[in-house]
Amino acid sequence: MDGVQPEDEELLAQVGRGDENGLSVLYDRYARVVYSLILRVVQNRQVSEELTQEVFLRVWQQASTFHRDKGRFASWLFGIAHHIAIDELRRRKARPQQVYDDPSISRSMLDVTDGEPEPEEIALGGIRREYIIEALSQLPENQREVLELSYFGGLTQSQIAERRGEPLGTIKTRTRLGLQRLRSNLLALGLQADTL
Amino acid sequence: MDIEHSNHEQIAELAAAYALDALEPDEMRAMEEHMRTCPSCRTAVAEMRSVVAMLPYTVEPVEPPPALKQQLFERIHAEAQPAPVPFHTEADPRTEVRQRRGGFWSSLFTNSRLPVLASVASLVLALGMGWVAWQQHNRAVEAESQLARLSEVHQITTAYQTQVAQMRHKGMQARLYVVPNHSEAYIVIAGLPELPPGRSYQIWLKPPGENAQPVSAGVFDENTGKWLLEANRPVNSYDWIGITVEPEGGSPRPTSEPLMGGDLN
Ligand SMILES: [Zn+2]
Repeated sequence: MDGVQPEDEELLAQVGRGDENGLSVLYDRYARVVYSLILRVVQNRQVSEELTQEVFLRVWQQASTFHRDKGRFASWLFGIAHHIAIDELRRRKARPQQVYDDPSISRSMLDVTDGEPEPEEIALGGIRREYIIEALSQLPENQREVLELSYFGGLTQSQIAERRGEPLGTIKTRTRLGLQRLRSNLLALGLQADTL
Repeated sequence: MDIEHSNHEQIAELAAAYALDALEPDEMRAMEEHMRTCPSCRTAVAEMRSVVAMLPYTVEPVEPPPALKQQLFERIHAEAQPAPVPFHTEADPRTEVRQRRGGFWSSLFTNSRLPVLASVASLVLALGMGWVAWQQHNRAVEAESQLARLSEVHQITTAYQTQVAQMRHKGMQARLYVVPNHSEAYIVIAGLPELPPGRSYQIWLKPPGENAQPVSAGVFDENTGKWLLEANRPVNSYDWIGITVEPEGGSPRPTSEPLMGGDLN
């Protein structure tokens, strides 16, 4: 087998030219992270399956609109996935709540699992998932909380401020500090700057 | 509404909230509009996004159902081609394999690299087992063991160390899920050519060693389906997996060229 893995962006360019094989490789590389993310947000397997398909369908349709100056493919992909998941969550919250929660689905951002290398490491250039969890866990509790409430909980800044009974400005600052600090923690743990 | 900022911190705050999808919908739209003419905000958003893109990795990984990928490609095909080309209009892969000189199974034993393997895409795995294939829809099986089987499949497909091998050839696909040192594996097969009457598909595993004979890993009749394979030997003890068409009920040794196969090392 060829040891050199084609870069995501190279594969995406192939997808943009209508090459299904490129999409297939990208799917194998990222479907698990995308599905897990969506599942974490919407907490329902069937919905997550549909939305995961939707994400890759958009990659297929929109591949030619991607430009490197938008950042890395993974950022773009996860942006699409998150957007779709949050949309679903907000739409659902606008209606009476259905019984949707699956207790077997993890709710904690800091569930660490042990040992074995994972396929995501390829996408992350060899960085272990544990490092990212570690970088996150080093954030002050209130910064981590706003990141979790917005990213996984789908709450807007105003909603977080309301829920916490704190000024909107405080929440905005905390969000910014949280992401900036997460970035420097990741770099300190050895994540390459060009991965970020 | 207009987006206004007078310093870096405000830009960074907007960018952070935007990257997290945490602005109100009208702010979101305003920010998108604003970024068209504000390079500082574009840069800040790109930077925040790359940090946000690390958050998905903190989620406990869950394997999506194997059928999802196939459904995705079916959807893509359905949208691209109103009249999809049926499988049987392609060249019969068996015919093609038979054209190879020397025959497939004999070439296995001379330890040569096989032409057919060159066209098998990305096999990402080391594995091998002696197995019994179960048909998922076997009516004879009682509900209780069916449940146990589903739970086994779930364990195999969601384990962290699970390795996935993929075989693809001429419209046929197989995806094999293996947990190292685990006695069972799960295989999803799609798009095998229609069986002639009085024939079955058979899965084979080739143990290492030039003279080792392939052993049967199961017999089945559906050209698409999911099977749990039970191992009676340790993982990594086989070199190769393949699927052939055999007389109904299977053969003790392969009697035809493989439809599709893959290296397990
Ligand atoms: Zn600006």
